[in-house]
Amino acid sequence: MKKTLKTKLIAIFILLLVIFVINSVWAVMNFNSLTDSIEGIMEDNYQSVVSVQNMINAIERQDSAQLSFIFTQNENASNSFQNNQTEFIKALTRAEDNITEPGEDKLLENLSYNYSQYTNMYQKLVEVQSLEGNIAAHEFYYNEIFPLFEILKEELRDLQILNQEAMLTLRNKAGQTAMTASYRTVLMAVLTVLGGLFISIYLINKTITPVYGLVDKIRKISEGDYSQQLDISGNDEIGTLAKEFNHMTEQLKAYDKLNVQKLMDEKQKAEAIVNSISDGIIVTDKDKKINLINKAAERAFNIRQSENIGKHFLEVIRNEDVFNLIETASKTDLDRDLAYRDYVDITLGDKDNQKHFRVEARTIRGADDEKLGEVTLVQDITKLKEVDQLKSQFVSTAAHEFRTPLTSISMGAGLLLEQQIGPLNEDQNELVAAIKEDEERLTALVSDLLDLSRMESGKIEMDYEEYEITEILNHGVNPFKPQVEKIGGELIIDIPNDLPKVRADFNKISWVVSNIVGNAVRYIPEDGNGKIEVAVKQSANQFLFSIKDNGKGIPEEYQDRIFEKFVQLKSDGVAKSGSSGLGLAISKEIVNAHGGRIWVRSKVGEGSTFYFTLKVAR
Amino acid sequence: MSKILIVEDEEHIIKVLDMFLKREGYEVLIAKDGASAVSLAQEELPDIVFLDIVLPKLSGYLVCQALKEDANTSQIPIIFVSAKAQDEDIKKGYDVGGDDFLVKPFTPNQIRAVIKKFIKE
Repeated sequence: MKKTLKTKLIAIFILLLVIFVINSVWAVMNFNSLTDSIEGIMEDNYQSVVSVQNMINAIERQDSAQLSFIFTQNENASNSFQNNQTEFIKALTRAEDNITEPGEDKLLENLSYNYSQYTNMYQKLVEVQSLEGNIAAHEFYYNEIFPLFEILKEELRDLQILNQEAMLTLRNKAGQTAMTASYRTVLMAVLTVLGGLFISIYLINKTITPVYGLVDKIRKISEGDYSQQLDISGNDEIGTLAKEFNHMTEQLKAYDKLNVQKLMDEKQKAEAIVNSISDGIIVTDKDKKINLINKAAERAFNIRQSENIGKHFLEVIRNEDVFNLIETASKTDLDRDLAYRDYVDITLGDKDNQKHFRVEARTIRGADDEKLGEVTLVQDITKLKEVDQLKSQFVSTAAHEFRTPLTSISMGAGLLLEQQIGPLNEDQNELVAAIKEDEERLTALVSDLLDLSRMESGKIEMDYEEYEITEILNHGVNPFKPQVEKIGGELIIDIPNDLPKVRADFNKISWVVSNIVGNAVRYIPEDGNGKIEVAVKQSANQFLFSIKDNGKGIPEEYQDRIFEKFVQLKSDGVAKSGSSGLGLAISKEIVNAHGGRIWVRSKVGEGSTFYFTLKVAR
Repeated sequence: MSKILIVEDEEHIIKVLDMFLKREGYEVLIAKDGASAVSLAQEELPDIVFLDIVLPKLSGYLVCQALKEDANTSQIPIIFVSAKAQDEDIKKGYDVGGDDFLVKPFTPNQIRAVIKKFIKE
């Protein structure tokens, strides 16, 4: 039969039951045998006592019979004597067959002898009676028979006492034996119960202990240690469980190994991808500690990933500008705006081998949108810079070359329009005016181009100082007031009273404001409903400038592009005059150079709002 | 009649300026390079000089310096007229003693305003 846990438990139960039964049987047997022996002995003695009593009765009747014979000589008396003699001998025989006590046989022997004397005396009495008469018989009785009768009675009484005392002794002895038997039974019961208990506990422990081991191992597995094996043999449920458990841990171990392998493969793949990217990538965690540096970033900064993992960013790359970029990315939600691109350009390497990089930082967000850290992209723009420089040089030279012929055009057309050289008819005047207007546009374009190319190549240095916001706004906005009033529009400046100062290049930021306001003025309705609102708000260490108009708005596809060069909104196929198409591109360069950013929100038919940010002065 | 010296190597510009200033009623002197500009100014002592920067032989800055160092000519207002008009160019113009700076291209009215500023009739 299979040794199952159930059969084990039943076996323990049966064992206890058997012990109980053995105890009971043992007790019953003990008492039975005791009772039997006591009763046996008691019966023997009792028979002896009865026999003695019978003998006493018989001999007393014989005595009466003798006396009756002496006085009556009756035949009946003689018969009575004979009958009782038979009774006596019967009882005596029974007593002799049932000798139980020491000394009893001697007593019976004496009794038997005396009784035979006694019966013989009766024969003599009959003879004396018949020969010598009543008196003699009377005397004979008193002198010879009666003493013997007394002796016999005495002996019978002794015999009776002997048996009665024996019975008493036996009874006491039996009581003691019973007591002993009780003690033994109790002792036996205690021993077997204790033994049973001990064996049960041992067996139960032996059965249950492996379960504790199992619990322990399972806990370890839950902690990720899959090397657990149970050393339990046996065919019961626990043995089976152990086998299954071992099988399970093997499977888990294999699965875990497979998983780890997979993870390693994925990691290597990801690393290979990251390393194959030609742009530098540096990943930092929430505490700005370095998590990853790819090969390109290693080359750019001349650092090793293996030496710098876990170090603080500034410890590895001592560049405040780049670090501020990361800080800004980590502290703001600007990364949600995919169009948002904040960057710093840095130059690395020695003089003979200078390299230029554009660095961008973006927040990394987890599945629950929580910030995990930042990824910093380091793009090698050395080639781009060189091309840019060439382009700037070209633009600069070209612009100069344009200005010389423009001078004679400007002067010539100007003089003609003044009609000093001679009068012009209407058509001639219109033509020369057109020439003059296009010359002016060309002049503005050349000027903006020069500014922009110099700005882009970083040749224009910002002249930072601290200014009141109001000062800058007034300087940029006020020149447009007459123009707006002329068309019945509103031009509102709305700023809180207690704004701190801004750190900026006064002329450049004024220029940005006037450029944006100037654009707005060109596009607001001229029917008296035109409205431009200039506002500034402070949030943390930044100012947010907003310039809102109710013009015709900018189609979505243009909203990102209007900050590029030469992108102009055409109204009715013609760009509004007075604009080179470079104003917003220059504005963007200026704002970026200030560490801020510029963007637009607009809806066609509702108007546009231009935003830019600047830092609060410290 | 006020005398105006134009220092310029571009024929077309010389032509329009010459025509314009004469019609405005000024006596016009013309120098086509830096060296002759200095000698002409010292000889004629004009009331105002319109000075280009990029010139053959001697640059406009050096012409200006030379005239400002000469006691005879140091009082003559010198107006730089240049297509090179970045911040540093303008700054340098004032540093060497220039009195004003006109960026090319200019208009007749700009010329009138500058003359009015420096020549009290």
